[in-house]
Amino acid sequence: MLNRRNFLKLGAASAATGLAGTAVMTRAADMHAWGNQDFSPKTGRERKAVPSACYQCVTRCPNVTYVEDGRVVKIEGQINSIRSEGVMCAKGQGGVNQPNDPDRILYPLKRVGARGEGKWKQVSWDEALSELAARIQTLKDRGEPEKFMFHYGRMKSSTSKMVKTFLGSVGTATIGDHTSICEGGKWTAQELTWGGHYDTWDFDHTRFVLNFGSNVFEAGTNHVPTSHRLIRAMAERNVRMVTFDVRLSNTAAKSSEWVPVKPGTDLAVVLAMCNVVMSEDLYKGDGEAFLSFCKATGDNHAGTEEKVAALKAHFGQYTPEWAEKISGVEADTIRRVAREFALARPACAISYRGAVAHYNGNDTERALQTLAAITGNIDNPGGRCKAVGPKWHSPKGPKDLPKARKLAILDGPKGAAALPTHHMSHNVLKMIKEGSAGRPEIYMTYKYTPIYANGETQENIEILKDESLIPYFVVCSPFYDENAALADLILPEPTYTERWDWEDMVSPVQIPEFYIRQPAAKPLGETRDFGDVVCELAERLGTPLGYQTKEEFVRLSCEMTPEVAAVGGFEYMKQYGVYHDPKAEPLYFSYRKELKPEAYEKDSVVYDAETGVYWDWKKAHAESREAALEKGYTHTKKSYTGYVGQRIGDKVYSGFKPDKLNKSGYLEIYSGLVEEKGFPPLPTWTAIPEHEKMGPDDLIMTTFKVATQIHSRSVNCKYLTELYHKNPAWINPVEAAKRGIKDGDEIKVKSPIGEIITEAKVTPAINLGVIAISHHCGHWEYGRYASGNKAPGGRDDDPDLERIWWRDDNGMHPNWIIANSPDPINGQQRWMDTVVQVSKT
Amino acid sequence: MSTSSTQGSGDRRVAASTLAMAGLARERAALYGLLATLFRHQPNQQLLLSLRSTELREALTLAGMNLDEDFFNADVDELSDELAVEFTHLFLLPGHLISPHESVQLKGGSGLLRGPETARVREYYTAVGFEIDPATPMEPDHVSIELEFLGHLAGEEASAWESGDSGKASDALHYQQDFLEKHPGRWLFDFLQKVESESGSDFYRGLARLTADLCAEQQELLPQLINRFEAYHEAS
Repeated sequence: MLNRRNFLKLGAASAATGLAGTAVMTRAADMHAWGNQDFSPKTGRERKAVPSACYQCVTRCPNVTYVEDGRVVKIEGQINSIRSEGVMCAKGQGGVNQPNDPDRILYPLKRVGARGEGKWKQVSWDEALSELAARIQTLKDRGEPEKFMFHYGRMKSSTSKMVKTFLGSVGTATIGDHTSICEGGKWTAQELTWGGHYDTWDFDHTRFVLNFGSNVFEAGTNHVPTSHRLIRAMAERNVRMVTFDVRLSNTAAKSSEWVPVKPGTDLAVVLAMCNVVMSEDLYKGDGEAFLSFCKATGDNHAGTEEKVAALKAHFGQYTPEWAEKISGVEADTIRRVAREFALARPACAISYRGAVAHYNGNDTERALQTLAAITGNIDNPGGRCKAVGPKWHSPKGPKDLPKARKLAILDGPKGAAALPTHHMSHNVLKMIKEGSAGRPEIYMTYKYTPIYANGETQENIEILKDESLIPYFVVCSPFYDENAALADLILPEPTYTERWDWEDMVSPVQIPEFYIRQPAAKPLGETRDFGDVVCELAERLGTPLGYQTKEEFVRLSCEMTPEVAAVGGFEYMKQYGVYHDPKAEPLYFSYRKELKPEAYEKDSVVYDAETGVYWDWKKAHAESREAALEKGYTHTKKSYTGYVGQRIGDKVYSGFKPDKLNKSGYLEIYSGLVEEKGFPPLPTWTAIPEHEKMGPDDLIMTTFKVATQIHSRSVNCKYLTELYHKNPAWINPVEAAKRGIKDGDEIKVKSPIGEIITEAKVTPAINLGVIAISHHCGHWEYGRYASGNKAPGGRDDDPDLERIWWRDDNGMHPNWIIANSPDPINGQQRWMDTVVQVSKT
Repeated sequence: MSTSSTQGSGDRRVAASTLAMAGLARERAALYGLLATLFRHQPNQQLLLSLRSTELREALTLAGMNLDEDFFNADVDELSDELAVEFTHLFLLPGHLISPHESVQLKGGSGLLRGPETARVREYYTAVGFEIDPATPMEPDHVSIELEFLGHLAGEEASAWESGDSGKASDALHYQQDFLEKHPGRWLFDFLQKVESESGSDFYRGLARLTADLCAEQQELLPQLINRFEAYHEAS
């Protein structure tokens, strides 16, 4: 019998004797990538597979979109992606419903009746853009371009580059984002500690995960790339995860241990863990070594011993017993988990809105950074790492533009937040109403629904309806959402399955991945990519951007980006969708890179003796070398933009490069910047004022997301909304019994802002003293699947509609009763602090 | 087969009949075209002025689209705006729209915009030899496009009659009957009924009624025409 060896011998002999055959076939194209094939169940024909990218949530996973008869029929994960490894969450798969939603806006619409009355007429793009361009031109002519305010929700990568270039050409810097209602506070805390924001969680190499308020298995800013790795780590390597959360989320349920915690007291627990690490000398080893790269006292040049002494002294007050009284978490548990975390080596500390969307959220994140730092779990394999993403090169747009002007309405009322580096989007409408900092004459939103996404829904509606406050309101959206219903002009966008982009989300493996989004199907109706729209607007305003379309911008970017150009540029990306350098090594310990003298021994670089920072005063646009030296690094405006490196001892390191703030190159456990604003420089316990004044029958209301919906832009996807379409309020049986509430009862939830009526879900899966209501539901617009507003002439025999409305209830939006209130340091919207009274109706 | 080779008085009768068929088909084509236009866009001032001309006013009335005096006397700009709002409300505005697409309206169908039904309609056009300008923003199964297609088929029929190509005319009749049965006939009446009952505008109620009447008449008439033609063909 032949074995493999015999076969091979025969093959070799055949080749040697020239009997291997004559080929009649040649390769016509590069061999196609393995996998990602799909076939029509009806015809058996292979479906067209388009490598593209998801845009349901900010994670933006590479995907493969299957097309049959010009229609998107299926979306699955891109198996060649090092980020998602072919995994796609329910939300991403449900995106298949986006392009075919019958309630899309297909043509530009102009308001005809009173604002919000619902009277519209279709207008041509020419008419729509003529009108908008004329209004912008008027503001430019008046020297008030800043009165054109652009406010975006989900805008990233190539779209962001193009739109911001356009806004720069107009001369407005009144550009609002939505980050403060998301996780902006977490980013500010990171900017204060290790500089450029974003933490990557290295689950592939970790041994233990400590989770404060992240629903990592259901949602999150890098959801699938992290969650599937975490599941794998837990299943294959028995990695333990301990989750502190007020609610038994699916993440908590899948954790090795769920520790219920009182809302807003995560900080106390983390401080107590720092106490355990310092008091039990668990910092020794990696943590102690890492302290060289930390600032832990007011003196930037303090030695490790001084730092240890300062930290021991500071955290000494936060004993586990002290934290137990505040958080409800037993001291023994705190002590045990802290030890486990410190000794796991490596261990990964993760967090999200559950921990940071509080009055004291800034210090909660700073405390977690500290805990990771003193245990040596920063930017290391298996720890909490600095983000690594692809660096796309792209066309720069017009040169010599005038300095942009800005209305001071982005950061909330003066003094409301000390360092709102990601603005205070939830206060923009309030600022417009108040008016002292001026008001925009054109208010334009892009993929953003301040009405629905912010707190104080009723006030948002009233402000946006008031033409004396906002004279002209333009909405760019594929769907008729709550915002669009109040607009003066609607510019319809294609869904993400019909558009171009290059993408740049960070990688969980510390190796950058380049990827693109390309249209799988022709855009429906007259919808136009907003990237194309800004190109035309710029032309009309006399400052062309230098490219005509988003496709051209993406193509040029592929050609300009060395890594992508080297493998075939745009054509390669269209064929494969993703690219990473197969020889690249994961980037860890980026702060340890030693700089060569030529990097900092330059005429334009000065040394700041106080901080130990070398910085390029020219790059930072300081007046002069003398002025730079006189004012110093910390107090020169935007000196961080010229940061070069950090001197530590006799060496200069790349350190923790600052962003948005004049932080040193240390990981700053001790923050002089915070101190200057009147807050404690080291992470310090601060109680939530409203929680201190709670009555005996009050509860704290928190919010959350589920695995099958994104915050507010997926409920029109009927597959997803069939799965989740109502959001009863979770309440503990003990709390329910006190109020005579039974499961399924109608209840009233009242806050200082107002009250809502909803349904009770009585469950022990929520902590005492808490009521939790998810986002996603209670839409009153956004089409039939989201709102329940079936058009009078809509199909009433759609079985999917029937499944969604089987109880005639599309839930209740909690934001009606949540105040638009900031963390006093970073401006983060405090989603989790609302004190409410709950009663049976 | 051609009818032009027949002789004598029969020739004249056939020629007269053919001419009449051509005329009828041409009118039908024009009417489909008008309806397609009215379902495609909100009417602008120029279109409204044409509709208010004596000639068209009479023709609309004869066709059963009785518009009240306001339609003919109103300021044309105001009327245009009013109808634009109604058009948008009826066919474009999510939460209110009556989707003018077969794929959304077809009972037991996908309920999707650009659903599988849309592809079947496009395939039908292709099979007959028609294609839609790629720049067209409407889907192939939009009411306006389906009506336009019926108009094209009627136009083909008219040309065939005019050139004496009765075989081709017969083909065009078959296609009209078949397409009407397989596509508009399965959803259009239901859609038009919704428009008629939901619209607050005489104009769109009348348009829906007129369209329904025409299609119903064609559904009844086309088999008769085909049978008559085939009987004549067999007899001759």
